[in-house]
Amino acid sequence: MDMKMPISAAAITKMHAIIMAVVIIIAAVGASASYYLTLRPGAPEYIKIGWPAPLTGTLAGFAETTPWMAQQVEDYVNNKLGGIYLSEYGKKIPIKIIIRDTKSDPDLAATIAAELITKDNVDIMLALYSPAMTNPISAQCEKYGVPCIVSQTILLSWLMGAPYEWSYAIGLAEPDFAILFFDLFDSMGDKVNKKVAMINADDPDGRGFSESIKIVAKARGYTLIDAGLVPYGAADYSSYIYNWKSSGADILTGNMLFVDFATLWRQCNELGYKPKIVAMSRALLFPSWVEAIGGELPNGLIGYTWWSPFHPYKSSITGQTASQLVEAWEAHSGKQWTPVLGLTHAVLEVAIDAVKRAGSLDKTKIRDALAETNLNTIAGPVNFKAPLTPQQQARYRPFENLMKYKDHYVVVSPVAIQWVKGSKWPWEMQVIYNWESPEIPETAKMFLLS
Amino acid sequence: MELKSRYIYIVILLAVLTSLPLWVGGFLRDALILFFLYLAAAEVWGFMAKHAGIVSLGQQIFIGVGGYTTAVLSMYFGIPMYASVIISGLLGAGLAGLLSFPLLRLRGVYFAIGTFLAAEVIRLAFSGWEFVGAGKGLIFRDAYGIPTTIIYYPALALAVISIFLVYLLYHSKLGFGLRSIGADEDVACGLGVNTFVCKATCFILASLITTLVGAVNVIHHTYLHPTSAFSISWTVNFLFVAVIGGVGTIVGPIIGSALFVAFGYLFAQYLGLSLLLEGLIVLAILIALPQGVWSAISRKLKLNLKPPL
Repeated sequence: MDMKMPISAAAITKMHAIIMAVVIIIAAVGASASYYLTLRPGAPEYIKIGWPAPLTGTLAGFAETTPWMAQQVEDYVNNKLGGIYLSEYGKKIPIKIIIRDTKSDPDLAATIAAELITKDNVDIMLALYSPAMTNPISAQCEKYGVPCIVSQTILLSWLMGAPYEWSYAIGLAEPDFAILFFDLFDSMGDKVNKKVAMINADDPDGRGFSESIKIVAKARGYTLIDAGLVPYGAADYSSYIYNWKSSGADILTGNMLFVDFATLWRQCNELGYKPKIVAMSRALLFPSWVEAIGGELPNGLIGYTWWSPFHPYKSSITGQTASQLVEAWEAHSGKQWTPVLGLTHAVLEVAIDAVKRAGSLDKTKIRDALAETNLNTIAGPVNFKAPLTPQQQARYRPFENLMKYKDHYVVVSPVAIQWVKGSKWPWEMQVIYNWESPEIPETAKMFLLS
Repeated sequence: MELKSRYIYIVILLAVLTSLPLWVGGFLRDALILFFLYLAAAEVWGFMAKHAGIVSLGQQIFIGVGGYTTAVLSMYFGIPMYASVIISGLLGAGLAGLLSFPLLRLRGVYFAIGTFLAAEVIRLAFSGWEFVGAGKGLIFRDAYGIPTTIIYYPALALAVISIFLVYLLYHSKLGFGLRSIGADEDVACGLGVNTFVCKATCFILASLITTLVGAVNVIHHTYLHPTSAFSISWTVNFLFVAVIGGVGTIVGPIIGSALFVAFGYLFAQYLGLSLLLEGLIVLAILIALPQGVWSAISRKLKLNLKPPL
C-alpha cells in the first residue's frame, strides 16, 4: 500500500544505514555476550548468593536490614574466615552476596531472580519477605534448577506452588497464630469472660485468620462478637465498638493493617470500650507501627513475634547471640530492632552451611546438602528432616499441603508479646507467653488492660 | 528496486532475530523476551493514545486476564498451553468488546479514569476469588519446563505482529477514521465516521495484543498475583515505553522498550534508589526531548519519515 508513496533516495540510504547498524549492533552484542557467558573458569572466583529484596516500595520495611546484614556476613566470612572451604577445589573461596531491588513488585522479582540466575550465575538464592516476593522468586528457582532458601513468609501461601524440588522454607504457619492467642486467653482462667470481639481486614490474611479463630473459639466455648471483614481505610468503627461494648466482650482480637488498627483502637478509647485483652495479628509486629497508634494507647497491647533478642540462640557463622545482633544493628542504624533481623541472618547461615557441606558449587549437590540441613541458627534449629511435634500435627492436619510437604519446610514457632513503655525506645516488646518454646524466657508477666 | 532492497534488510533482520536464541546466552534471551513483550503492548497503546485519542489506563486488565486464563486453562482444565494462550487472547478481545459499551461512551480523561476503575474492580474480584488462588496468587507450575529458547518465539512474533498491525491500521480505512476521531471526534462524527465502531475495533485489537502479552508473560514468569497482574504499573510501563521512544511512532517504542528493559536491570543494582533514579531519568528525558527519543533522532538526521514510522 505504500508503493504509491514516493520515497526520496536520501531517506532510503539513511534507512539502509540504520538497518545495517541495527543488525551489526545486535550481532555484536549477542556474540560478545555469548562469548562472555560461555567462558567459565575452572575454579570459581566466588560463591555467589543471589538475594532479590524489596528495598523500595510497600514491603520496604521488611528489607530494611538486608544490605547491612549481607555486608556484615560477607565481611566476616571473607576477612575473618578467609572464605568457605570447598573440598572439590581443595581451597577456600570467598562469598559474594548479590542484592537486587525488586521494588516490592512480584513480577519484577521474577525478572530479577531470572537475571541473577542467567547472568550472574548465582549458586544459591534467598527469597524472603511475604508471599508476594517468595513465591515468584522460588518459582524461577524451580524453573531453572537453582537451590533456594525461602523465609519470612506464610507457609500455606508458599506451599501452593508445591511440590518443590529446589526450594526449602523457614516460615510461619497460619494455623499457629489463632491457637497461640486462645492458649493465652485460656491461661487467664476466670479473670476474663469468654466473649471475644473480633474484626478482620477484608483481604486474604484477614480472611484466613477469621476462619481459624472461628474454629478455635467454637471448640473452646468462646462466644464471638464478629464485626466481619472490613475494607481498608474505614474511618468509622463506632457501630462495631458499641456492639462489643454492650455485649461486654473482655477480649478484642483480629488481623488488620496497622493504620486501620490504630484508628480502631483510638475510637475504642474515645467511646469508652475497655477490653481486658487486645491481641492483634499483623498490626503489632513492628515497633514503628505500634508507635504510630500514638499517646499512651499502645501500652499493654498484645501481638506475637517469631524472633527477639531474648531468644537464646546464636549465629553459627559469627557466634553472635540474638541480643548482640540487635545491639550491632541498633548501633549501626540508630533504629530499633525488628523481628525480621533474625531470619534475615539465619538464611545466610543455612546457605553457607549447605555450600560448605556440599563442598562444591554443583547445584544438585548444594540442593542435596540443603535438604540434609541440621543447623542451630540465630533463629533457632533448622532441620527439614525433623518431624512435626504432636501439637503441630494436630493443628496442621486439616491442611493437606502442610502434611504432605513436611520435608521442605521448618516452622518458626511464634511467642506472644506485650508492648510496654521502654527504656531505650518508646515502646518495647516483652515476651509474656513462650507457648511451645520453653527455651525462650518469658521476660515479663502479662497484665490486663483493665 | 529501492523498496525491494528495503524488504531484504527487514528479512535479514528477522532472520537474525529468529536465530538469536540459538547463539546468545540465557540472560540476553530473558532480556529480549521482556523487550518484545513491552514493545508489543506499547506499540498498540501508543497507537491508540496518539492517533485514535483513546488513552487507556486499564490495559492491565488484559495482562491479568491473559495470564490467569492461560494458567487456569492449562493447569486446571488440561488444555495444551498454546491453545490456552489463543483462547485467552479471544477472551481478552471479547472482554474488551464488552467493556467498550460502557467505557467508550466516555471520552478523554473520563475514559482513562473509567478504564482504571474497571481494572481496580477486576483486581478486587480476583483478590477474593479462591478458585484462582485469591490473594495468595497462583503458581504456574506447568510452565517450569518451558525454556526461554521457546518462549522467545511467541514474544518475537507478538512484537512483529504488533508492529505490522499498527502499520496496517494506520493506513487502513479504519485508521483513517480513527485519526479523524483523534483530531476531533465531533467533526469526525459529523463527517459520517461511525466513531463507536472505529474506536471499539481499535480497542479490541489493542487489547487482544495486550492479552497475549499477558499470556506469554505468565509462561515466562510462572507466577501470578492479583495486585501485580492487575497493577496500573503495567500500563504506566507501556506509557513509559511509548512516550520515551516517541508516542505514535513505530520506531519510538522499539527504542523505549530497549531503554526500559536496560533501566530495569541496571537500576536494581542501586539499592534503595532504583525508583528514584528511574524517575529522574524519565523526567530528564521528557524535559529534554518532549517528543521522545526517536522523534528527536529523526528530526536531527532529517529522515523525513512518513508517519507512523
